[in-house]
Amino acid sequence: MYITTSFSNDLAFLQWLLLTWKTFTVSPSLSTVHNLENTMLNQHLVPSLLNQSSLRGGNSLGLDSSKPLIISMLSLTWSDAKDDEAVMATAQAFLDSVEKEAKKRGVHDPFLYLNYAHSSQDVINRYGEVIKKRMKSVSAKFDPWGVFQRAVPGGFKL
Amino acid sequence: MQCCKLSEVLPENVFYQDQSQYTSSLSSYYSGQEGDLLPTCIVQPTSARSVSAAVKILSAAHRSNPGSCLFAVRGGGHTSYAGAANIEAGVTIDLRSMKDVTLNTKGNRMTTSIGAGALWGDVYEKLYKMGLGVVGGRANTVGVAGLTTGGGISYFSGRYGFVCDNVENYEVVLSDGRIVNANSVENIDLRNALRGGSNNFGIVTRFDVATFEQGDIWGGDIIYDFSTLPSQLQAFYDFGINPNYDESSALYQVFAARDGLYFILDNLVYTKATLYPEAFNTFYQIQPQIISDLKTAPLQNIITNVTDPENINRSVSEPCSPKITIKKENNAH
Repeated sequence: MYITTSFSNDLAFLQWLLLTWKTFTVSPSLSTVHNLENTMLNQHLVPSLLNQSSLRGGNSLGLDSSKPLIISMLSLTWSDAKDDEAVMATAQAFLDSVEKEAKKRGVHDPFLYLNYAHSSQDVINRYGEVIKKRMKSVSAKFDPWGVFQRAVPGGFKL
Repeated sequence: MQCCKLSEVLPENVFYQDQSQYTSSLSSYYSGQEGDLLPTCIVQPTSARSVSAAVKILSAAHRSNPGSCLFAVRGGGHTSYAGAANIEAGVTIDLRSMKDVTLNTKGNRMTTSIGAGALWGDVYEKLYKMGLGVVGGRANTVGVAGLTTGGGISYFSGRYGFVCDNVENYEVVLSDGRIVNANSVENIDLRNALRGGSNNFGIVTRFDVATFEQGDIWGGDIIYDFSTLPSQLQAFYDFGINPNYDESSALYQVFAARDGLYFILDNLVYTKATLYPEAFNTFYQIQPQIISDLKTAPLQNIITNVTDPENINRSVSEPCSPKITIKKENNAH
């Protein structure tokens, strides 16, 4: 599974994050999971990337070139289906604690990178209200019967 | 079996559970959970017209009897959670037969038309021979469609923005079957919505992407002892705030744990064939290093041998032992 969050570039927060991740890797609820691999991948969306993005006509990601951020992807693999629930719950709890602390420190960013998101994550809403409204009106215009909302249940819906 | 009447309209392209095309389609998904879902039939269109024919039927079914013919759309099939691009007891539209990669030149402007079923490896293999590149994904086995409609991060993003920003035209099949183009002069609202809007507006059948001259790149992975953590975080932080950021440089940092063993992996890539560019000076110096695999090579070879983000996301729930290694190109299983 993978799950994602974002935050602004802050060294103290990164230090807290890694300490907390280490603790997460040895959570009691994960101790009996076979062949568990636990990784966290961090990468910057640097100002240059965001500036170039905004020069190319617009997208629906809702990002602000004045607010560079770090995208963090937590990825877990394991071998037994019976452990699915425990892994998911523990990972979710870890992610929730990361977002809570990030908010406390003023470094939280609501952006969720769709390609790293878990199916339970609220990707479209977290692009922002303006973007979501715009997407809904595009949907109403090009897909008035809502086929891609209701007949295609997979993916992140509007 | 009629499978929502699709077999009547597309007799050559609709496959059922007892057929090899069906089985091989399911086994080609990246994740076990996705491949486990059993659609009633799998449609493999070979053109936008046949996608349109299929969508018209499925739309009509949705309108007259909502819920009767639910469907899924599959490009590369790399998304890890079940249901993203497959569907139990519904119709899966498998776009893998539509994977042409064609260069277009108009004066001195170049674009590459990419069929929605193509993988990035298909694109790079073709373009590299011509000394060209595109703002594309960082894994050969990831599909163009999903990555691009979800935004998309490329080694070239520091220089050119997201993958989706560099799509000049989307050819899209809408729910009424119309095939339209979305670009800066036609349906610009649809174009912008597709840039991050995933599968919410229609089925993209072709991406026309900006293309530029591009040769070999440089980089790869360094794996470090976990004790290097403090310097790693400092170096990572510095890379992000650097006011003199080098737009040819791309970095991601991975922290990994397995069986009580921990390590840190830095993926360093420079989009020019420059040996040991200054942009990564701090990273070369951090010790101890366990493995260092940095080289000049075509992009598609650099990503084959590195642990790329999209390959870290292997979500398997089957009784085999996932390995933690410098990941080779992932084979779907």
